[in-house]
Amino acid sequence: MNDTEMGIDLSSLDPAAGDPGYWDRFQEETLTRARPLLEERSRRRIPRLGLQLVSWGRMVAPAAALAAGFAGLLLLSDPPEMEMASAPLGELEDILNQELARVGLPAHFAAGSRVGLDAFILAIEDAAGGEW
Amino acid sequence: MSKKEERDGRPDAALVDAARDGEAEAFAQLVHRYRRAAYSVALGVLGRHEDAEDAAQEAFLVALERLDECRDTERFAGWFMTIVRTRSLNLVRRESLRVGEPLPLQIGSEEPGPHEAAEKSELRRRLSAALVQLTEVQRQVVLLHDMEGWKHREIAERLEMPSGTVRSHLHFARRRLRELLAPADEPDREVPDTKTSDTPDAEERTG
Repeated sequence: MNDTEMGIDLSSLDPAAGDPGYWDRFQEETLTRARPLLEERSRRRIPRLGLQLVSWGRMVAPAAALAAGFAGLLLLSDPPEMEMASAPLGELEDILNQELARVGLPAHFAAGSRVGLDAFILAIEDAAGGEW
Repeated sequence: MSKKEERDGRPDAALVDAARDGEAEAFAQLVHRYRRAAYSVALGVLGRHEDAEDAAQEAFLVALERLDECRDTERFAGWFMTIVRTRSLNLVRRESLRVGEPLPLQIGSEEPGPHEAAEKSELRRRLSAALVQLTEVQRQVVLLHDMEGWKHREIAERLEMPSGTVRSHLHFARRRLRELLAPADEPDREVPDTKTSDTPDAEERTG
């Protein structure tokens, strides 16, 4: 078999050889005949798209509902993590209160005590080194 | 993506998907891409221009109807060519039943035309007469290769046969055509191949 043989000129069999507009007409006729089928396919596409969304929704909606329910439960309950996080602050507050209770306010600072007030002013003056 | 696809835009698979959704432009591109090949294959089976035209057009409509059955959309061309062949063979059977004998091969219009068309008409008549002497598959292969400029590989893929078989059919088809077309005093006359730009087939062996 000779692989370098020349081809046969069959161009005269091309319908466009004697009719340049042949293929354009072929195209147009084919598409005209195909139009109802294409329209039918377009119409079928819309419900198909809807079905796709529904099937997608069927899968996603329960998962979303489950997630929302779980989040609600978390919000309503006292999460142990929150207690742990607030523990240091609570302890500090307790320590301060306990210290105040232990030391107590000096008697001369008691409310309504005139002596206490004079003593307080004198104490401040002493602290300032008598420069007032 | 083939060279054809690169030149024309979207690959077959994308066009098939879009056409499935009724996109007219996508289907139009598929028709544009394969109309000549469809005609050639149909002509190879039917041998008559009008029948080949009908079969090719019908094949496009059948393909559109059954587009959902094309599972491997990247191989649309092969799938579609099978439809073309089947439609063409159905037409042959239908006509044979109606007429009661095989169809004569009669390619091209026989309408009388102006003088300059007369030569073309005569050449067409001679080619038609020569092509009828070939087997159906030889006609398909030689028409796709020498009229449409398809490569061996493309024909092999789309007619679903080994590449070597395509080469063999092409070789014997050409040899037979040369014998039939050569005048008695020019036994080895070769017709220049304008469609395939005189490219020796050996160059295709790499493809």
